[in-house]
Amino acid sequence: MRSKELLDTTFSALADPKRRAIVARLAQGETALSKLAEPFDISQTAVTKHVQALSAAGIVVVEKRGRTRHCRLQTSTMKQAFDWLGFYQSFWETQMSSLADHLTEKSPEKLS
Amino acid sequence: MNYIPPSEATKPILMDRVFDAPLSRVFNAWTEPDQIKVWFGYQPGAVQEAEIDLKVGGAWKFVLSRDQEQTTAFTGHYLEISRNERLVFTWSYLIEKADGTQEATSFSKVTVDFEASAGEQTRINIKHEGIQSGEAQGNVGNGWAKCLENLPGILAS
Repeated sequence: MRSKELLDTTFSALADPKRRAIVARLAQGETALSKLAEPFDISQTAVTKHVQALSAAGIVVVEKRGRTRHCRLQTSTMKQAFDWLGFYQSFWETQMSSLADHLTEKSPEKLS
Repeated sequence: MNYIPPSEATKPILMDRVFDAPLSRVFNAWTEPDQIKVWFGYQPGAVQEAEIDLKVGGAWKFVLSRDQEQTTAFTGHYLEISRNERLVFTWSYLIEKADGTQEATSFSKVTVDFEASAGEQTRINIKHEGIQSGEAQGNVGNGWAKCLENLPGILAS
């Protein structure tokens, strides 16, 4: 579900400082994958791995045009990741449904 | 959805539900670790470990995921406990890294009011306040603040 993805996938993907730096770079605009390594002291292979992780988390979109792979931020994911209020609204709604299920599905005797 | 500046706390989240179960049972569902593990989290069974020190100042911690790299959890302290009436606790989202470092959101506050309703039903009121969107982002991703400088324009587009 969306809430789970938000915390587990988005924040895990962004836990790495290099990946955050890539996001910061892409926040300035679309960048070719081959140019993305330039400001960082890491190999093209390492940058590609980070971009793949960000892509898997839905944070970055990689689009191949001709021979060049272009990277850009998936803004809808970023919007959701940054909207904690929206996150907790849906979080508590989920909790209430889950609690209701818990309270009605099991008899009190089964609970310690 | 607008970008919220780091210093601005958001308005509280309010929730009001009636459950088809007696008061004491609903209160226990919030305060017994074995029950928390059943219903809390994004989906049933999402909480792997639950620790509850049910006294004022006592800590609670619900572990959501744990792997070689990091542990993620919701955590906080109890500010007020009135059995079958009210629970007030602080709330933070925490990431503990394998190297011992931590990242956490600033603490927000959750108030849960319990009230017996007709026919063995129980009403719950939840208020989650002081969620600091911007600050939370800054803390959770250490170094995020810098990235954020570029984001308002993007998020507004």
